[in-house]
Amino acid sequence: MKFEQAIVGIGLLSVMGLPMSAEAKDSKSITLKQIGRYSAGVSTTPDEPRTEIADYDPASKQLFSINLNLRQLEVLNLSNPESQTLSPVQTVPLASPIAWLSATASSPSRSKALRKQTLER
Amino acid sequence: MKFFNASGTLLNTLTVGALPDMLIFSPNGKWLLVANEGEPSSYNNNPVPSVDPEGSVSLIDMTQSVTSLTQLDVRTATFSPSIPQVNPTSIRTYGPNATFAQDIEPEYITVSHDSKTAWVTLQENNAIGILDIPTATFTKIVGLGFKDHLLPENQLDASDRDMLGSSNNGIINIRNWPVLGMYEPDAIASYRVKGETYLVTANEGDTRDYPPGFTEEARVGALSLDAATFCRPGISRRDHWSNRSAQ
Repeated sequence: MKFEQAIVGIGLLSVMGLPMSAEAKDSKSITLKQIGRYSAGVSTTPDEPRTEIADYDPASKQLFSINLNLRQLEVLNLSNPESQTLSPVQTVPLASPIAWLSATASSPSRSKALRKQTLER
Repeated sequence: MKFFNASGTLLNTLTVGALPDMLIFSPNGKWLLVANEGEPSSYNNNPVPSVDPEGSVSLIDMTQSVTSLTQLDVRTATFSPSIPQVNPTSIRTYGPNATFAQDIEPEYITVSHDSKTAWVTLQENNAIGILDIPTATFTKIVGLGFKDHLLPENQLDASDRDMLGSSNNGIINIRNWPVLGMYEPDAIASYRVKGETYLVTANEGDTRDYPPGFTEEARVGALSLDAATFCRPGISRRDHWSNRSAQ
């Protein structure tokens, strides 16, 4: 995957107007509305992501994201996502010599949600 | 790979394959699968020798508590030319001096409802690898074929210069072109309806672009095209081609 956008962030969307009637069930259209946004800042390295695969943990209502330039794991509180501008409630520094940070995932089956991140390079 | 709890406390660190790019739990929570993309550093030996690691998928057995996981819980499924191939002519392996395993670049993973099978997009290779989770082996590599952009439903705007004031002057020019496209999916997901599993792929397309060592990107205007194929009246004369078309 290539990254050509200078600013990479996370958009929060709500899905609107999913009609419940049997007739409307066949409708193929949904409406997305942006309710919040988090900007991870301007990438300092061309063709490398500021952030890539983020993951949401429903148990703690937190979103986990990797910030490549700042070499840290960023935690966003989404209990009230309809605030237009979000900022991390916690950052976890990731020790050098990590040169690449990519993805997060959370366990679907554990009450204590686990955070992973891939790294190396 | 680093493991944290939801409070951000580091619990464990394990080594997986080269250049992990994406990871996912199986639905039953037993397995954590990691796509080790293994992209090359440069395809060029100046100023330092290029390194092209082997692509693979690591499978971590999460049965134990996270803090007690060791490297013994990590298996890694690798690639070789002996894995059966479906639609082999559309599977692309073309990195300079790369072995088959070095050339395969796993991008993204989805796991079946029963946590036994994983489908792995191999983006640069225009293919999907089918992974048997219990044995940690790839059982098949399926080429995704090509997309005929002369079919009415496959029109596209071939220019990447679409800004007002550019040479294309912001014109949206969606039409048929006499080319075959490649799907080269990035993300993949799966879902199940009435006993059938369906895969959904985001066909981003991609190029290997590592100048000066190797690049496959080119402007159409810089290519020597076969006149009979590309200058047929009514389909697309070469001078109607956007000079900005990539690949």
